[in-house]
Amino acid sequence: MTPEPIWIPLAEGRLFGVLHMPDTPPRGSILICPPFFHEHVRSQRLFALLADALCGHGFAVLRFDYLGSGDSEGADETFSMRGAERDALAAANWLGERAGRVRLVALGIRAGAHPAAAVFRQGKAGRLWLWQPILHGGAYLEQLRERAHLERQSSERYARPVADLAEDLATVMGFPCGVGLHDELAHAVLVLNDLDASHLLILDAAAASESASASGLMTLEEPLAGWADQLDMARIGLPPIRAIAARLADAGAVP
Amino acid sequence: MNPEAIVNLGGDRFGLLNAPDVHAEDRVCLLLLNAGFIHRSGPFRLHVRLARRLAQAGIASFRFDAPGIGDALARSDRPLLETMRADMDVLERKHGLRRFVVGGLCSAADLGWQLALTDPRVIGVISIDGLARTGCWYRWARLRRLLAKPPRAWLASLLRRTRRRASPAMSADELRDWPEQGIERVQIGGLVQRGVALLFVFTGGAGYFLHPRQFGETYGAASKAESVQFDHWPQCDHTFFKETDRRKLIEHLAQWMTRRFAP
Repeated sequence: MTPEPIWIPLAEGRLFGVLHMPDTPPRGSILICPPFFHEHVRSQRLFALLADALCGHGFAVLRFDYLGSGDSEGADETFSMRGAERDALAAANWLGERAGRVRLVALGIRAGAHPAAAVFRQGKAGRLWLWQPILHGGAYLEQLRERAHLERQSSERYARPVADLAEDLATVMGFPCGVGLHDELAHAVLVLNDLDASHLLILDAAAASESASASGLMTLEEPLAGWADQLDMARIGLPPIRAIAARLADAGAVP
Repeated sequence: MNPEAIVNLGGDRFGLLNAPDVHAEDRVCLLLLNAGFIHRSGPFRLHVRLARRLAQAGIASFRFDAPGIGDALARSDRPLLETMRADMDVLERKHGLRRFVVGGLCSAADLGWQLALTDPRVIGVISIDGLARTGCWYRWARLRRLLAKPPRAWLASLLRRTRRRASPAMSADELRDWPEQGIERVQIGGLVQRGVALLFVFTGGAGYFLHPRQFGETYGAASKAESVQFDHWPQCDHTFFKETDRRKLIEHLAQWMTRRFAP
């Protein structure tokens, strides 16, 4: 079960991914749709370790980077919400071919809930797991703008205040983005209450999720929930990651 | 242009090689080392963008994770320098790369420095917020900053220092993998003599580097060698949060690499 780095070819460019394949035929497969922007970078290690732990429970797990993010091809400005959905669907198809005829779970992290939900709604996944999902893109975008403003003003970051240039203000948490991304995010709303609750699982801090009533809720303990609010790199020990992987493996085993 | 290729480094480790279609025997490859715990794509995708910019100039680069960082899931008891040299062996054996520029940001600068001292295949070092000593120019710059502040800020600073005494913060020397003071002068002398090109950039985010004259104070006479370039960018932060700063850095590194090593 050594992780295998892979490319997924698309007409627009290649997606980079890492496949975690168990030594025995997989009991199921899991597609991890990563969060966006700084959260993608900060949580990379956490979800690499989670994928490895889930693989240890017999699941084929695929992590990938959206076009214009991480190691995938494309300039930063090519990343978009619509593109992320296209990429997640392509990754789901690719995983389906590699893992064989087993049930696919789409696991969306934070804003990655949106492409994961697209995979589920198009019938590519039998289950939808959402890790601290961003349901309202507009509110999220406002949070990110506020956070970026604080970063640009931070005396911890800059010895002396520097005037903001338009080019810097157009980024999202420091990441350059295309003209349409702000609008896409601002209008993105994830509706879950029309989904069959038996197919939906939310992972979040206790009582944090407004969507919990519509679904099963798996509580995330610190530090598995805390990383999303921090700006430093998350260094999370293995025990809580292995514990949540075991609980997810149980959830994934339910027919 | 060749697409980026996955290179297996053994075990669970791999990296991404951006090798332009250049077949010169003496072609150079930039090894982008992890900046702290950030995985190989770098802060704000800095390494990815730099790799692709260098490829346009015909220069190869390789970004990868050290054991215990990013996708290199397993930690290793093997000394990190040995691991890095073994990775260079793989690139030499599989891709014919024999000359390397190493380094990066923060801990990557420290590791690049050590690697340059250890391996003769290293012909260049990029050190961003790397080693510098806090001597009299640092103290002078601090005093000047303090005097520029209103008295209210002095009081706040004094209170902070008093509170800190119970558990003093570690200095950069203690946190970083730096040699004993003075050794760096001998080391840079050896590197300059060997013909290694050295690029140093210090940002405003390096709290231990406040005055440009700290550079000469740290590295001595060798700091003035033709193969050594030093830049002080106090307006930038440590991880280049602003796109304009990041773009400036990428262009600066690409131009230095092109000037020194383009085929």
